[in-house]
Amino acid sequence: MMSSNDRQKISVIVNGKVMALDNDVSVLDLLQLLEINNRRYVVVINDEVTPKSMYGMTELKQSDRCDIISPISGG
Amino acid sequence: MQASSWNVYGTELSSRLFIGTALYPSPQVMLDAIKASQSQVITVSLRRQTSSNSDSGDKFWQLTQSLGCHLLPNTAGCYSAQEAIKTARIARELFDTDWIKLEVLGDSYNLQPDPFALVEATKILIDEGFKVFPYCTDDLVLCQKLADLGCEVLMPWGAPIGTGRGLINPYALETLRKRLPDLTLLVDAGIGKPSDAVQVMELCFDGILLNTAISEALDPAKMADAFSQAINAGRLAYEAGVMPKRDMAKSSTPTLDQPIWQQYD
Repeated sequence: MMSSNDRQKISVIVNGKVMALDNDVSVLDLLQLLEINNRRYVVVINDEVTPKSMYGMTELKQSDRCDIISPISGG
Repeated sequence: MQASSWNVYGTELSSRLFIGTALYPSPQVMLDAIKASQSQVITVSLRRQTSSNSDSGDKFWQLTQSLGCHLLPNTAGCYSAQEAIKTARIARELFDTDWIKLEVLGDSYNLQPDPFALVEATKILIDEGFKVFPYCTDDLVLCQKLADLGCEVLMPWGAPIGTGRGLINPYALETLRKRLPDLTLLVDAGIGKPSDAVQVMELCFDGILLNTAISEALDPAKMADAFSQAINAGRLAYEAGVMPKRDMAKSSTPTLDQPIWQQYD
């Protein structure tokens, strides 16, 4: 039987840094892993905005670029 | 007296000052300055979250919501049309608005907008339903092209961002106003002091976008109030009708029926 430690890992670039994740991890799983509790953010995968309703259904793939974007001051 | 209200992409506003939210010494100083400015539109931006700023975005969001202002997200820091388009799409999702202050820079020294990339990005974003507020130079042909693409608002620079140099080319701005009489025009960038703002408004510009001149003042709230009054004064002066300049002096005191010793043939 395959344990969680034996699962195949994938490399995903999250906010510019490489992360090793399980190969079936969803965007929602990633947000929970990162403990992002903010109410105001947008997830962008490979330069495309991911709708909030799709977080649970969207699985991350090898070499995906995932950015979590939040508001900031601007001029 | 308050100057007339105006309309921006279907939104009626009474204040003619858009104010930036960056570079303040603290969030409280920013709040105090925005309130003192009486502005109804604030500019905002976006960035990646990191472990060190994971809750700052939400705090900033709460602050902006407490003000009840319209949000104008920008595409600051973009140097290509594609970057700006991607940023605008993210901003629309993040801030729930189709307003976008479109910045596409062409030079890192003076942060001058790239007119070619700006036109390219504007065309695509307008096709996607955005209400584009392009930060542009004061080039007449560029501004005409942006208007032709569907921009109802243009935001030419007065001087490069953050320089506080005032209007480096008033003639160009005056020409824009004359040639594009139906467009909403704001000066964005370069304003240093309230008298610069008065000059802009007397040129019949519709408004001004300010950040550094307020946020880097010794007392930002007081400076915001000063700019608010200056912008209102300049607009009132335009609406009241400024007298024409003359070469020859003209006495302001009536001479008719003066005592005889002051009468001359």
